[in-house]
Amino acid sequence: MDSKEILNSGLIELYVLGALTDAEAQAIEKAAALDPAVANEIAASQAALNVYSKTVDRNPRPAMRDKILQQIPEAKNQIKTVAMVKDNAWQSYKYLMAACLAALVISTYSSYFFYDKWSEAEDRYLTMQQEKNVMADQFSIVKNDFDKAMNDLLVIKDGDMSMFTLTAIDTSKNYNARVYMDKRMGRLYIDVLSLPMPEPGKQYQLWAMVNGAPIDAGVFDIDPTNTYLQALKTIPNAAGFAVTLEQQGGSATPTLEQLYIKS
Amino acid sequence: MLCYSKFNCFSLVRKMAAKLKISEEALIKLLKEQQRSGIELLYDHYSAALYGTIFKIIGNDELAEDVLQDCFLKIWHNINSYDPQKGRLYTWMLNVARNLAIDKVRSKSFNNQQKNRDIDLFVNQLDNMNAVNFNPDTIGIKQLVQKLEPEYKVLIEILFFGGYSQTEAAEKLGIPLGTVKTRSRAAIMRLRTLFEREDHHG
Repeated sequence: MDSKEILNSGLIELYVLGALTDAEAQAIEKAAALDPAVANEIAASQAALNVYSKTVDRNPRPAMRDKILQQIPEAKNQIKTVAMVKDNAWQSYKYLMAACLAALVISTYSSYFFYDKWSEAEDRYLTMQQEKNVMADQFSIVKNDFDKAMNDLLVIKDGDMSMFTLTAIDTSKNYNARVYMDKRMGRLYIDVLSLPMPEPGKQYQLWAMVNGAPIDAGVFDIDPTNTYLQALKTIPNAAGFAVTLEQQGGSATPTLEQLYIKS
Repeated sequence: MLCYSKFNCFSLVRKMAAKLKISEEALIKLLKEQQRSGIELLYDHYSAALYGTIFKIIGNDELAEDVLQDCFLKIWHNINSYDPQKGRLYTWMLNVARNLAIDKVRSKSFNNQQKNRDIDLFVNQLDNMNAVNFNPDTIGIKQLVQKLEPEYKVLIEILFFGGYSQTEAAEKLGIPLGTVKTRSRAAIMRLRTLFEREDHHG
């Protein structure tokens, strides 16, 4: 059936009246797609029928409007969608803010925590530094003492060393000292065991007896904190020793009245 | 403007809004975008036409209201199956309403008595209904329809609102099938001549 036949067949009218079977209706639609004349005829017939159908217009009860519109799903409303996008933006902004705040709190706490740890470590470090300094000082003192003691020991242990014990002239006093003498060269050391502290401006002086005559062997001090051997002058061939109390710096000849101890 | 009650005022505003012309293209766009305003405009513009068609077929307000509801839901959900190439939105919607109403009439749940209504009663119903539902828009159309020959009117009524097939119509009217075709064509041509002027804003 060509377009012209269709136009006059009454099928277009039956089509718009909805009286055709599906297959027949599809044939008409196909013809309309191919021939504008058929399409126009359909449109004109539909328009007429549309007007005719208005004769049956009937307003539904007013309540029907809300009842029916309530049934329409709220979903894909574009305005809503925009609002939701805004919501999402605000939502993610909120999460971002929360994350920032959380990070701030954590970092503040960490800063405080680590500052605390750091100052604690700094304190401990300073303490240890001080302790180390004290130890170093003490070590240096001990080392000094040890060196002196070692030196004394070397003198005492020396096989070429002679020892003279000097005792008090006044037997009521318990003054005494020892003099170590190097037999080869005559180097002299005194080990003050017990002598009274001299009055200011005075110094003890050791005298070496060489060929019956006293020879100045040097002056020495009494220091309760330094009880090591004190090296004095080198005088070979001394036969004995005596200690007198003299002027500061010593005298050329011994003041016999002030003779304290002798060997 | 005097508004005696809120309801009157609102309904007046709504009626005025309904009068505001919106192009079919704009309405189709709104509906295809699933904009709620689309279905609201659709209701305000076409509920009377759709409900009228449904009521015409069913003849019972309670059931017709159910079908009207189904009709709007179907339009909302199936709008994407509407093809503007094949005809106007109004025609498509009217067919949705018509088919739902006819299905309802033919369903088992529908009263058998109503299903086998006499054609004369069916046709008379149109006139009675128009008398009850005074609609200024349709006065002119109604007057024009009065000029339509009864044999054309009956045929359009049973085919379009009754959902009869050609064969059923031929059987019901006691005329040959070929006559159903030629008379249908003549009836529509007559309507077209009658509505020539109305057609522009139909």
